[in-house]
Amino acid sequence: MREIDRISPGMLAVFEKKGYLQNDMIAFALSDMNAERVRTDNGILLTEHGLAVLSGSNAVVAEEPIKNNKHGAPVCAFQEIAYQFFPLDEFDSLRVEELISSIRLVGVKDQTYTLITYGSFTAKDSLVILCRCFESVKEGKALPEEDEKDEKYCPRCGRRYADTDRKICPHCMDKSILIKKMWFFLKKYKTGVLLVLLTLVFSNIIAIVTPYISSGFYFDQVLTVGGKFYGQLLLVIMLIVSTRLLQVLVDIINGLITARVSAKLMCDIKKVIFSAIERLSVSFFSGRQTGGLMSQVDNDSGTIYWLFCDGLPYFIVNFVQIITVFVIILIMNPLLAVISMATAPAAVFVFVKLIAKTRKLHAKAWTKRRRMNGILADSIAGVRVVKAFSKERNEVDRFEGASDQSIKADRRVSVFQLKTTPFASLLMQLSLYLVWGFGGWFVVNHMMGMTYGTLLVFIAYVSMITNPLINIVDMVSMFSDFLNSMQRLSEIMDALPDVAEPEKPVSLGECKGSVAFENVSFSYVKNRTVIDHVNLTVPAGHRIGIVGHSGAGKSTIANLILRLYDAEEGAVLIDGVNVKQIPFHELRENIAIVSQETYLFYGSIFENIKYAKPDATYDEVLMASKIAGAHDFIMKLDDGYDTKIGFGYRDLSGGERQRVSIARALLHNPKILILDEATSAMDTETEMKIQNALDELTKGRTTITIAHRLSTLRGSDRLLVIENGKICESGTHDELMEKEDGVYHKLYTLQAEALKNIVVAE
Amino acid sequence: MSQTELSQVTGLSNVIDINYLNKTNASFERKNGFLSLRMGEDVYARVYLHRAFPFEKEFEYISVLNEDKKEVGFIQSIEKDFEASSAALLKEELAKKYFCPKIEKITGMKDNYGFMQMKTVTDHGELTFGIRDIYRNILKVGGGRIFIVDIDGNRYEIPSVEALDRASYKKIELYL
Repeated sequence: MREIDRISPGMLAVFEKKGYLQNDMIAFALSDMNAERVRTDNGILLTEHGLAVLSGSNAVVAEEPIKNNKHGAPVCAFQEIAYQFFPLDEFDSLRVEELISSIRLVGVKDQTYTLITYGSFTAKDSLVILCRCFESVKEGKALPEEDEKDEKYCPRCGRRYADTDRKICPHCMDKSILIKKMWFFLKKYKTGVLLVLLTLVFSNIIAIVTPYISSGFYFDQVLTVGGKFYGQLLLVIMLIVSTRLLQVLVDIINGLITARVSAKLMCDIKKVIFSAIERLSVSFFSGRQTGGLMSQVDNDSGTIYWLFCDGLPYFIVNFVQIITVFVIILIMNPLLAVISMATAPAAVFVFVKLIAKTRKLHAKAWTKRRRMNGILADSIAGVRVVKAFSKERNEVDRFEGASDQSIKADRRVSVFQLKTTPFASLLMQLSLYLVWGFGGWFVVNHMMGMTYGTLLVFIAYVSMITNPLINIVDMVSMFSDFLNSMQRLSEIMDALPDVAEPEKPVSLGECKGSVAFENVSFSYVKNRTVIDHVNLTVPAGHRIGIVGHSGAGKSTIANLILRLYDAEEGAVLIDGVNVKQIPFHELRENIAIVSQETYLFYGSIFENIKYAKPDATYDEVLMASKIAGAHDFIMKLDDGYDTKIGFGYRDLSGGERQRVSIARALLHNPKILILDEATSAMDTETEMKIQNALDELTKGRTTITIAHRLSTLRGSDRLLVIENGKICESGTHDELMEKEDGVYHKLYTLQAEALKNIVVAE
Repeated sequence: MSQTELSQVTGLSNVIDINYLNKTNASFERKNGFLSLRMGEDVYARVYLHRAFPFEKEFEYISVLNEDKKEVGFIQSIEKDFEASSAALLKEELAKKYFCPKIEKITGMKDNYGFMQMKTVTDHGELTFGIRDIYRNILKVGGGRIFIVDIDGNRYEIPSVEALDRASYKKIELYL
């Protein structure tokens, strides 16, 4: 049986009781709502005879322990509520209808519709697959292939992933792996990190010794009559100054090493992110979730940097300091040591609460600031519209409102901190005053060997505990942020490109330029086929025009040839070799594309044109620009080819950008040239000029021109008409025009009609 | 405002005609649980309703679409333009389509490795769901009414954030 969703043993038992044999079961999927739209577990079982729908609830009754996992795997019991059976011939097909926030599975026969079950969008993918299985059973074909990427369940505990695009199970997440990942960044700087820690510890030791010399030793041995060093002031002062000097020196060394290591580390983290951008396939970034992931990771690098450079070292130092100092005072005077910590637990508790609240306020202020910046950016970008409808006043008001809120939120943070932190600190220090009291009493009454000097040392030590304690509380609260950031970063580090360099590359040698599609299917989003079993052959040197409605899948064909994506079924061949076997550099050396998106990088026009061929000569660039029709407009610019794009207020128009892009592609001198709506933003005259120039150039080169404006396709050897991901017609213009009810004929007539109407209007 | 008044105000109706449906030219019926429409000679075995202003007008400005999702008519007001029985039918159909659980209480909200896990009590029982990039998935429609969109695209409504109990409000406040 094909388990699109996992069937629980309880539910399976109920099905078996109703007489369904395991051998007869073909496919199973789950849906999650009943007609009242309350969550239920509806199992939909497809057999040769029809559809059985069993609804009820899978309640978790126990958890089976898993090793090293505090949550365990859920054990469910199934309770039946309703059952229905639909014979196979009752429906011609099944379909999933999307409502606003729910779906329904509907059976269709002729013009009658039958509701089978409701579900939330969570169940949609499974039900869509079930519909395909139903179709296969109806037609007596094999079930559609299973996609391994569709795994929805955590392999450890069997729970469904919250997000099936990101395979993280919060229950089975192993935090120690993340900590280990940290080492990936740190190991390069082993010596540096070790030195930083050493200097920090050393500086700490000095800090711990200092109070002893400056207070205890000074008062008891130097100032007190009968002390070993009574009256030797100069010696003591010099001792104090030199320890202090030593500490300053150690701190400077520490600062220098930290600055070096941290700068390199930040650079490393950014490099990991950036190389991921360059390494991963286009699909990784167009996916709605990863797009967001990427921008977030950029912010995350700050958090990770913070932990490595400030958080972790100071955490260790503070921790060590607390422990050593506490041990020292415990040895000095156990009773007083305990008294000194009397209010610490309460104070730590208060600080934990305060920090949480402050962070919340900070987050709020950040949200408000983000909104204010958003409005600012929005109205600046839309300034033409604002002015055209003279709505300047409204925009100012809108901004003022947001700005006001942002300021208020910022102020709230400061006021809160001002009002609360001093009191919390006071609470922490209360025990210090207790030490003053009790310690003083001991000194006055000569109890427990307490002298004036030791009391001063003691007090100095106690205050060395309180601050680190607050610091540690602060750091712990930020640690969860760090784990989240690290998680996202490691996801990107571990992500594998969908489109991978071939393991056993096959070299094309001298590329001839023939292109073929063999039964190619492709979809960007699961279950929404964009290219549907397409077959096409373009002999080397031929010029092919592809025409079709927007969204028909024209550009996808170009993406597949260039291997920005991989075909799901079938093969794309260049010179008879599957593109999956051709090394990337060879593939892209031989193909150039001018796409709808004409991105130009910051830099001069000259640099942009020779982007694909950095060693191009001035003459080559000039020639390419002339052919692309870019030369004339470039020469009208003050700085000619050296004009910086995006500099000052001069930006290129859509048509101009396209011409630069064409020049860039021509300079690349490819065997296969793909023009994907490359001239769409140009006026017809310019387009024709460029086409005439291109005609000469494209002789002997495979050219694939994609357009919806038919005039763009003049001069093609053959035209392909694509509709709904399929090639529905192909042939020369004349051949296609012969089919009077054909798509091409209709398109041509429509466009010709449109032109005629203009003449009438004049 | 009647249609003729409307045309005088904007002058747009001289250019375009909207096929407004009412009890005189259209009758809705339910067949096997699905809505069908008879409009004079034309019979549509299956029609779909779609609100033009779903956040503002519950039962006004509703587009009636055919099987191919093309508009066949437009309802200005269900209550004013239709008999009580048809109106009830249309309202039921809208309720089905626009079903969306209403959150009454938020019992938990936790950031779990980049997605927010939210535990709620809704008018349709307890629901737990994950939200990715919470700032972008809270849709504010004014008057404290918000929609939350989860990882799979399901929506959850909070009719009024201010009306939530204090503990629930405090949990979501940060993301508003």
